[in-house]
Amino acid sequence: MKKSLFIFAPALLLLLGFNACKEKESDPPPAMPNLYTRVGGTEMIADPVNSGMMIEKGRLTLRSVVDSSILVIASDAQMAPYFAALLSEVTAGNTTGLSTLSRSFTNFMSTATGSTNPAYAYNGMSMKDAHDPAKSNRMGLKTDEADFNRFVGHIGTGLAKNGVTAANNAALVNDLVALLNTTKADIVQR
Amino acid sequence: MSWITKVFLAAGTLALVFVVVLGLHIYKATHKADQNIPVRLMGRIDFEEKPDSVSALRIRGMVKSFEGVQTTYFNIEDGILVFVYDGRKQTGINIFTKLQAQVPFKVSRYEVPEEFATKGCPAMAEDQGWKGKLVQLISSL
Repeated sequence: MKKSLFIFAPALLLLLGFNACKEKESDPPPAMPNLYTRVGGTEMIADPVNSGMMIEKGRLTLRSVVDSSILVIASDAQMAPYFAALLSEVTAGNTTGLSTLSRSFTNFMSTATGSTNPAYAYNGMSMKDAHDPAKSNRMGLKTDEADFNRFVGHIGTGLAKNGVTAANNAALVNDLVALLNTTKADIVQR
Repeated sequence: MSWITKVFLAAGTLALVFVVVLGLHIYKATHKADQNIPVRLMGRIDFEEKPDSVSALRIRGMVKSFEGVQTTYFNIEDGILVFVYDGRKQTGINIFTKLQAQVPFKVSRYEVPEEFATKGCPAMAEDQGWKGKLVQLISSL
């Protein structure tokens, strides 16, 4: 009896070990949460800008990045033909341009990253139509690849101003840049 | 229909209305998009001579200390300072004048060329679809 135990015990252990490995191999990889969840998700927190209002954490992160990026973009002389109106509203008395850009672009980013909150939904024109001067009267000129890449770079600066860099979170930066690049074919029209 | 049935029917309808109103109120309080803040304005000041990083930092601090200024950003490479301020408390001209008087640099206030004034990123236009209008209508209730 003892002898048979000595013979079968290692075999049993081997079998168990093999099965354990087999189980591990067949386990599906954990699903990667969507980008919206990774930047904060749907947890409601106090909005630091709008007193007394609540905001989803993911939305707040995206809005902060958008607002930081807008400053970088507005200070870039090369981008002036696309974004000068941001500054013109100061003299023209129309004060909604900055807030509208912030909200609309944040809505777009929220929807694109996976937000399902209807209050944050982007309901504007398609990217292709919105960037076609023939269909969107706000587009003065078609965008070229160099300017698009410059724009994406400014978003990267906006991310860095909010503490997210390729050095400390390469996966998030890469995924957000990849997301922006999915719009490239529609936006670059010359 | 007996009077008891009528009373129950009226009370039930009233309760339903209260529940719907409460539900809408809770939804509005927790899901309302961040407010459009029409008082947030942006200004730009160009520096003819580009300041070094230390001077740029000092200038940013100076502008940030002006009443109503919320954020600043200095593109040192191009000598461009941009800032966001509360239009209820401050004006772009005032910020420019104050800065001009305090820095040893030749500066100019950026004026948008006419051809750019009504053009630009389409994201600055309001949502144009029916869904956008509906969301805006509900949000404004």
